[in-house]
Amino acid sequence: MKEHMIIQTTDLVKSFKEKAAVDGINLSIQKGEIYGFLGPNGSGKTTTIRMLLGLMKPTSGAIELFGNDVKGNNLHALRKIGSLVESPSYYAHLTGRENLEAIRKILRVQKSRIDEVLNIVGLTADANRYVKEYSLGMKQRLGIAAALLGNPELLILDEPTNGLDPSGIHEIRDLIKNMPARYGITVLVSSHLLSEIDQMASKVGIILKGNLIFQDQIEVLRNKAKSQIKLRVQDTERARALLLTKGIAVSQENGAIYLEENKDEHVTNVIRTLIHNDISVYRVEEERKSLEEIFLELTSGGDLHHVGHSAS
Amino acid sequence: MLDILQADLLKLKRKWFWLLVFLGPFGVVSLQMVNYGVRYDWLILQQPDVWLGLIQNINMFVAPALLLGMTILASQIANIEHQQSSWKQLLSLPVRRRDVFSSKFVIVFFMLLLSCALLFVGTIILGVYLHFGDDIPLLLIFKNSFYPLLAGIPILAIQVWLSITIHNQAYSLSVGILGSVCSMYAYYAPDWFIWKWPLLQAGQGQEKFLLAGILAGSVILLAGIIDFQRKDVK
Repeated sequence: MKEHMIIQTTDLVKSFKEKAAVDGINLSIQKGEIYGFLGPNGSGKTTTIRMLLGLMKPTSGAIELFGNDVKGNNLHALRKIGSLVESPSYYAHLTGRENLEAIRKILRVQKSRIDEVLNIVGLTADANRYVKEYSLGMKQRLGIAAALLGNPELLILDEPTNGLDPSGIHEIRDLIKNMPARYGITVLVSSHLLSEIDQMASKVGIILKGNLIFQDQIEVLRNKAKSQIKLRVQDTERARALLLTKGIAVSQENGAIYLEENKDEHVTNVIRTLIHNDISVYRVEEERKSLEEIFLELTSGGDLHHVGHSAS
Repeated sequence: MLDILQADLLKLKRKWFWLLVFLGPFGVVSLQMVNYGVRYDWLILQQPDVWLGLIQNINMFVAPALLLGMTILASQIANIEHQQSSWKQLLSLPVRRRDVFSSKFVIVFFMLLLSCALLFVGTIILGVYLHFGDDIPLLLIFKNSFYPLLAGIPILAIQVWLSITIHNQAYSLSVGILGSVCSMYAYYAPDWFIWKWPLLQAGQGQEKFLLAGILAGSVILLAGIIDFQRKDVK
């Protein structure tokens, strides 16, 4: 397993003036994954990413990239990483091509690689225009082209769709989704929008106030969004006790009973049992939690319901 | 290191820095052209050795012009990266921070070296134009053109350091301009006052200031690099 680990952080902490912006994070990202790094603004996503890239020094904790501890010297790892951090960086007085050329000189890759990456992000036609004339979406795509220039094995994209219009978001999303399959690139992409991560990522890490409160495959998160059956009955207490004696898993909340299983025959079975025992059933409703609600529950501290992984 | 230098050179494209490199020495020489044009007879009487007189007159303006040049160039070069927060992109590449910092320093230094060369040529052209004769004191003119830059390396290192590490260029520009103004009145300042060093009045232990400049400059450059390596990049 170890050799497939691309990023592994251990109790990573970064404090600014005594205040921990990142407070003991254990990220683990494997080869070929698209890891969605999700969290509200100011939760520590960018700080974590800056530490991964060596732009900031961790206050404590360790970072392993490609299976090697990067303390002290991360040049070797950086050679295999392409990144785009927050707002796009560019030299406005140079053309798109010249911008890439300035980076290519440092990466020492073939000149033809510039045309390749321009083609990947669809900027070939605008390559010889000044970047100051570019739209935000084009600047963002130039940033991704720059990140791809060195044939990276790992792509770190921090809020790559921030400030883009819907079509721009769509383009970049498609681009990212194809990375592992087409180029064998592992991707770490951060966002504050769940819907975005939901459409791209294979694994999700949710960060809140510097703590990683969830980290698992996206399916696990989606399962949390499964529907529940809500029953309003005459005597909630008695109904619950009755169902439990029959070995049916239920929970009770706000004067209603929730069934965890939602198959048709199961629901029929429960209702039949209740009626046969003279408990009137007033309402049978299906309650479906959206991912958005789950995310909000998780990020509001997880104290409203019992859904939160209380890892903090 | 060489590849970073090449990349940095590419970033200078379509900037007017090269004009500045020319404008500095051109300004210093033309000021003397006006000076000699207005009061030629009087100036000739002041210093019977006409070439030496010219060198002394030019020397007055070299230090302030040079310090202004250091200030503006260092700030502008750093600003290329500050402008669109390109530091994070540049430093996420497989580069050593000390190379990035040194590259900026080296670029400004070589631009100023070019200015010095232009001053050297300009001084000779002005002297010949004023019919000061064929007995040109090349060595003295060379020293007058290049020594101030070498003696001023500590100041250059400070300007590069400030410009790179403090995003707001008002700080580095203020320090640089203040230093430049102070240098004009620094003839009687104590020897440790580095803004005095580029003055290098002819025949007053020039080599001492030259050596001090190179030594102190290296120390400050190193301090800047260490500071830059420690800094978190926003």
